[in-house]
Amino acid sequence: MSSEETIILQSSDEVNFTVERSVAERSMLIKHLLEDLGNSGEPIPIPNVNEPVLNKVIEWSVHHKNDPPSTDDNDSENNRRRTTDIDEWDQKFMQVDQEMLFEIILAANYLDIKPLLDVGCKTVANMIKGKSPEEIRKTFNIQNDFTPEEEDQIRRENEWAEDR
Amino acid sequence: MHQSSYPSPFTIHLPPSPLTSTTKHTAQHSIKHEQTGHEAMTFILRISARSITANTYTPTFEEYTLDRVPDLYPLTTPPFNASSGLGDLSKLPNEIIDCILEHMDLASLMNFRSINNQTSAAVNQLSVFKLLCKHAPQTVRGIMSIRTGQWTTCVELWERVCSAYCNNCADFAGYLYVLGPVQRVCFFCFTTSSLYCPLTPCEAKDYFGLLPAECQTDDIPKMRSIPGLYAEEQRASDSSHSTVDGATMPIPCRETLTLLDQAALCKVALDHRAEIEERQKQAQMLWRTHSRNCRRIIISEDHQIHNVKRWMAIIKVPHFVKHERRMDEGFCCRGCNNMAGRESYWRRKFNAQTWREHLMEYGALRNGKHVHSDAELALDLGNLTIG
Repeated sequence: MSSEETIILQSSDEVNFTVERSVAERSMLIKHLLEDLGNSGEPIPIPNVNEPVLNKVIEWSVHHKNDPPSTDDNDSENNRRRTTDIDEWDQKFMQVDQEMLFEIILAANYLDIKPLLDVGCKTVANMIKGKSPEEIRKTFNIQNDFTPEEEDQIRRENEWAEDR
Repeated sequence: MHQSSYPSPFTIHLPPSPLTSTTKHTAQHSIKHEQTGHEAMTFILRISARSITANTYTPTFEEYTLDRVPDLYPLTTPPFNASSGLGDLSKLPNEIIDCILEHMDLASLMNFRSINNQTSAAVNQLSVFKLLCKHAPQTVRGIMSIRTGQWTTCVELWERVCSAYCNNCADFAGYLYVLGPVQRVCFFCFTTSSLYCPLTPCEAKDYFGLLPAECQTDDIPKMRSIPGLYAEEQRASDSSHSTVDGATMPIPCRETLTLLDQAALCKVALDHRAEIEERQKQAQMLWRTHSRNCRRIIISEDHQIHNVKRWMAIIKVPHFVKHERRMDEGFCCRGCNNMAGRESYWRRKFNAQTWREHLMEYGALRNGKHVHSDAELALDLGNLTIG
């Protein structure tokens, strides 16, 4: 392992993480940074991401460091797959509270890790799937601001989708 | 004009005087769609080449697919009112919200619109949803009406609308099969292939020995049909002589049927083969009596084109050509208009690309007949590449 070049990442609360370069390069932001500036051995500050979140992101990156680069999902095999299917390891990885889940999504977005962002979005999509409007409002603390007339119209539309 | 020894099986609406356009390289057909309950669309089909205008026609088939049923899911996009926001989701930037919505299946997405004003606006402003509402609203309404929204997302649906070729045979295709993950299909495949012939739970039991409980899984796409008129209307009057054979009327279906995707049933039946065989051995007599009863109630034989169930999950959606922002309906070949069989099927439609391949395979057309002459072919193909 000594031959593998390492990178030091520093979270917003100034905790250092030493990772292999291939792990750090799951992040397009860091990959481009290293390409442009080279690796000085100095810690790279990640100002928007705190220690627990960066830890999770690194855990994901280590597990996925050997993934083939994502292709544009155009082959028919991929198209037949349900988009909300998530690989088993990722499902376990995403079993965190809602706040952490959103933090991971934001970190993936900031660090430009497209596959992690996708998994995060799919996880949120699955949280919404199969729930009634009332349950969704509760899950995400969303207020119902429809007027009674609007509510009535929505109810009529929804009748189409519910068993009569 | 083509001479036909058989009465043509349908009424053809010939383009006006095809020979006048021989000197032009670009022909414009203005195609007016029959009114299908929503606004009639008029657009211009621009295809280079004399060969296309002189040797093809664009018939108007009276087809009664799901999208023609008058009473479908009302797809309204109400105006956006002042709102109390997205709750916890407002921590995420808009582009991430859009990404989440794109991963949601159509049924969940439509449900998400009924949370509050802000969620409703977020869905209505999603670019892929806007494209669908603009160019293929009947597709969304049809899918929501038969409740197969859980098997597709807006992104997948839009991809299918923008694809030109049949998922089964790769020919130019003008329909979507929406029971399960959406597939583009051509007329020949959806009227003949067993993949696109949905079955009732009773038939599933008859054909595959699957119990109704075994059919209640997310692996087997299920729909609820909408009562209405299905199949097609053919007025079998030839332009010269009237013969009555082959005239068909659309078939009314007043019941609401539960239908299952045959391809998925077949797969599940194979996975459960051992148990099913065991069960059938044990209860053979009972099972036979049951299936006989079933047959009496339902139409269990597949009449292919006249099987209403084949039409209940089909939506007519022409290929949307993205870069030209128009629908491509395709056209039929005059040389093949009395043909049965697969490749030279009279209902087969072409676009500029498949037309070229058709000519290369069958020869150029002269006076409505395919002729095998390299010189003539070169002339026709040459015209195709110009412009």
